[in-house]
Amino acid sequence: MRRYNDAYAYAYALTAPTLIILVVFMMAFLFAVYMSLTHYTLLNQVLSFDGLAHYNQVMHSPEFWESAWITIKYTVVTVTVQLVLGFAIALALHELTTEHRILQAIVILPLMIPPVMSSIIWQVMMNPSGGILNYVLQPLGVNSQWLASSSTAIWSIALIDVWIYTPFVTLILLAGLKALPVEPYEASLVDGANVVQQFRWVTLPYLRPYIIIAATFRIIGSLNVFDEVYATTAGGPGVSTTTLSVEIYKMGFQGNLLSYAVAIAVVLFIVVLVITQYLLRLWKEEEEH
Amino acid sequence: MVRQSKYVRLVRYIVLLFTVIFSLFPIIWILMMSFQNQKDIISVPPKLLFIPTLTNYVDILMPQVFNAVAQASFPFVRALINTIIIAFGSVLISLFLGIPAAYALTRMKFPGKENIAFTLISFYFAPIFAIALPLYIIFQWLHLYDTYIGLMIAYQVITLPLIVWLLRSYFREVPREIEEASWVDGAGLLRTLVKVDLPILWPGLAASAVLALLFAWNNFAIGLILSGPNTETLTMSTLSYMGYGQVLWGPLAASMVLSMAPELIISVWLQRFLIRGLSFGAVK
Repeated sequence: MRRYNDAYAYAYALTAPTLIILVVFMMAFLFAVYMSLTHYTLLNQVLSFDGLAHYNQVMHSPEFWESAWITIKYTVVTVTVQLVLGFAIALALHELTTEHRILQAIVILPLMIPPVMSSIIWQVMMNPSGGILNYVLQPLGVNSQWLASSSTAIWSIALIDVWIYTPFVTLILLAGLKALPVEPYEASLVDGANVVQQFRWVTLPYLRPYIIIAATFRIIGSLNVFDEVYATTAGGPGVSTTTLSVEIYKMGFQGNLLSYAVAIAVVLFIVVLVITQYLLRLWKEEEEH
Repeated sequence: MVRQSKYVRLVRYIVLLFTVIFSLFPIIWILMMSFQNQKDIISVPPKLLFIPTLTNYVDILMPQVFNAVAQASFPFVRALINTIIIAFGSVLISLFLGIPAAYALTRMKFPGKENIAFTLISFYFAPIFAIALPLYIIFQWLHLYDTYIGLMIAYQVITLPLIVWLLRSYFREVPREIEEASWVDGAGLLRTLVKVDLPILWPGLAASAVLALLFAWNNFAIGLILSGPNTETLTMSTLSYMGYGQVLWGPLAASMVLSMAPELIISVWLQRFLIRGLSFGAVK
């Protein structure tokens, strides 16, 4: 019998097709790094070497730091709200016998739709004059400018983000709840724990790995947010919703500074890469537990 | 678990009621809009009762029938065909490349194995412009800009990591002994993969492919940078209704409903698999 599993040649032969694509992407990224060191625009398509000038410019650009700050606060708020809401909904769905499957099917629908289209739907509903949201929420005293005002626009987009991605957190945590062992609960009952104590000392620790996985996807997703912003405000009013990805797009295609835009993309890539590596290591540690 | 008090049950039902309304309302709203004429749509206060019309659907599917609004040509059918070609093409390529790779990355020991898996998922998580912007320049040199094949290559950044990571989690569940038995019988590596492994993980493979299809279908940013008039996708054409001047809400709503409908139907079937799929196999 031949031991295929131990022969490197077979392994590399099987992996080669995927490796070719990986090499293409890596070369694209290396080209991006090279581009960011040149002065390349859509009008002047010459790769003339410019050193680290663009990175120096990025670090000293108030617009860059402004969009970094907008992205950070957007990420913190959306991920926190999604985790809290997703957890609450998962708890409400858990151990619900009969209606469970139908309810779950309804709850995950927003996750299935293209984010661009969800954003357009919400934009229609958020129309400050005559939109359904202000109309429905009028009795509660809500009369918001939603996406039209620079003070509320970013939070309106955050609301759309919450609508789309909370089901993702719900699904992951629901799987975690289903996998909970029974014994610690019985033990905590014997010890006289109440519902809150049980949640704090039994449910939460057991769900830790699931929370980390859900948070990983959502943190990175929010740091990269583009579709929802582009479809609704395109970064406005003013620069109030210009997240990093939107800043990259604006600089590259509207500001005609492609190589400068690529420099920001490289910076964002490195930040996301570091976070990815850290979170994936956390995953692994949890798995080995 | 604890016997639930009436109070806890009440809270639970309130949370669920709120969630169902919150999740469904926008979808029902756009569905209603797609059956309204422009006057009903822009009326203030919003109309809940109206006479449904199919005009919007006729407009986007057969724009030549009514010339009234035909000053804007509706790109729906063209975009639908483009999206089908690009999404299915990308997933087929990913399966072709990803199945053998996933097998090797699960079953075999070789240097660089973990790095390959990590690099794959890093590209998935990367800001899309870090790849799409350089490709925008490179594709113009290679005449791949605004072509199906160019877009299918770029879409690999989403579909390939998903397929490889998911299939890895399915390959782990195939008992090694079955493979070894097949080798003893004299079947080669590829033959065993096709005749022994694939039939076992077939349901997982199908679900992974459908989910990858969904990811490709929903993508927007890659098309925004790398597609042009010849390859415009549904997510892009939808935005073009919003352009300048008067927004044609009815056709916009109808085209969104038609773009979303297959996904909403598929999601019911995909439900049991979604947790594992969306977490790249991390949660089963």
